[in-house]
Amino acid sequence: MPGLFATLSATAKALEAQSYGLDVTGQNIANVGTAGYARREVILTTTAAPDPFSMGAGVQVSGVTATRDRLLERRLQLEKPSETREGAIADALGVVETMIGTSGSSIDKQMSNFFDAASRLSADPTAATARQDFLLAAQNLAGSFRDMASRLASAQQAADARVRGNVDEINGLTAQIARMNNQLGQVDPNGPQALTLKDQEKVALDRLTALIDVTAIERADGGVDLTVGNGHPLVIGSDSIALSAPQTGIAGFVDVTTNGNSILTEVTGGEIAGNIQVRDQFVKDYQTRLEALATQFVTSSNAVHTAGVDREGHAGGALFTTVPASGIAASMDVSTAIAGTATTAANLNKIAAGSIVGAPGDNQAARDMANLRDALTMDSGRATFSDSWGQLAYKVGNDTQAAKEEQASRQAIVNQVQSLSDAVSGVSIDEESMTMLKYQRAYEANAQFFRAIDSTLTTLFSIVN
Amino acid sequence: MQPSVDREPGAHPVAVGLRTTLERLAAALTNVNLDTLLACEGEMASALAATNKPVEVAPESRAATARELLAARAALVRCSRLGATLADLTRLSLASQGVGQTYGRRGESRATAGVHALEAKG
Repeated sequence: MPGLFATLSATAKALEAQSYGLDVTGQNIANVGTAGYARREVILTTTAAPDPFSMGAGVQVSGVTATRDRLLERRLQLEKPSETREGAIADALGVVETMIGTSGSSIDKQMSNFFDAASRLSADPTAATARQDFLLAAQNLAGSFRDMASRLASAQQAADARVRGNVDEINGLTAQIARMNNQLGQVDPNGPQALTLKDQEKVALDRLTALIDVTAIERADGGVDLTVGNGHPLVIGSDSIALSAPQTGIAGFVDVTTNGNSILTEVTGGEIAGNIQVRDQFVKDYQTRLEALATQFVTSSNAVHTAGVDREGHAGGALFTTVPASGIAASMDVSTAIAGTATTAANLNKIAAGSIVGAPGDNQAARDMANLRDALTMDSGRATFSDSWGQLAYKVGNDTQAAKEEQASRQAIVNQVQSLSDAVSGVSIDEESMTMLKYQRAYEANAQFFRAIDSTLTTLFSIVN
Repeated sequence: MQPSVDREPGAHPVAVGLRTTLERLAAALTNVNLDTLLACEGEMASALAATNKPVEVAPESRAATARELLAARAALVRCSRLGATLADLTRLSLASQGVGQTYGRRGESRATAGVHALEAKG
């Protein structure tokens, strides 16, 4: 037969356990919107009876668990980097697509205007207005090439800046995870502190996997070790190894290194991979295409112009000049001999419209220039200038669309895995609320008898005594 | 002939019935066992119905009956405390979500600010 103290002890434990269980339910409700929070469940165990004659010593809380599906979480960590990489590409290329402009409103329009001006010049090669019109069209076209080259360079620099920003954020997160690893090693691995730390670590890890594809290896104490690329350590226990972003890459762009080793080509997922791809592949490809177009345009038009004769009877000079070291598209401009400078006036007579000396009405050079519109000068003689620009614009649009579709596809996978993960770990506020209400209602149904029972007990006491 | 001093229903079985039911209820509240909570309602009604008839106490069972009554009263107090805790926690938890006392299955009175107010808790 248990003694009074044993009974009181059992009652106290039961009260404590029940209070703890309800507190956990309250925690679940309070954290329904907290990122990374996994639903807690109380593990109650019956306390062993102190002697063979006792019914038991009550109930006690033996632990609290966070309901998590490690497999789903790992799957999510694998899918997330691909989704965010495509998202970063789609976002950046969306901006480039806007820069390129719609068909007929960008460089293609300026090229068309230039050839139209050459046609008008051929119709009246001695007219000053036609020559002025031609000069203006040439200047506008050169300006368009420069502007486009500048915009693409800006897009590349913006991607480079984002890579740098990604590295800073990654370093912040790995340092944070290392600190949590350290804390996890100092607390009870089954206690509520450890669960809270794991929740916070999951949030940091989720963001990290959105930034870069890492390999996470769970530690015995609940923390994680992280590696990147071909096994380069990022976090080992309580130590984090920071990534660096020295400006030693191509064209002064940042490299991504760890312990002095470049991992630029090893990073294949996350926002940083998307930004690297935008900078080093996509925009670079567009720049190459633009440069090829500008180079061929300058070469062809200069060839026509130098083969012609200007109004002063001299052989035509170069129509366009460039500074190859700065890039043809980026430096393309109309020759100062024709357009003048800040201090010298334009000389329209330097425009070579004919090809015969002493024949003012000759328009051969102007006609040849206008005919360049349909000449198959690009893509090894298979495309016109306009075709070549169209291909570039199509490539940008196609890349953007492909990235968006890939992102949508990856997003669907991430959502599906997230839903499955939430079904296990998430807190349903309705479920928790209804659980508490159900218990309360059930208790109230019993409580309606308490007054009668109390009265009965009093009566019985009086009889017994 | 003298009537039996411990005729059915005697005080002792009634006390045992009440004590057993109240302890089951307390255990159900402790372990958060809804099925037992619901079952206790009927048991409680039956135990009380038994007290409607006159009861007498046999001298030999007086001490045992007294112990049962003490245990029953202790169980009753425990149930009241557990119930009060449950009610308070339910009320506070619902209030923290912006859910008032008129909360129903469709959550008519649910406010929007409550959840966010307590998010910092965990």
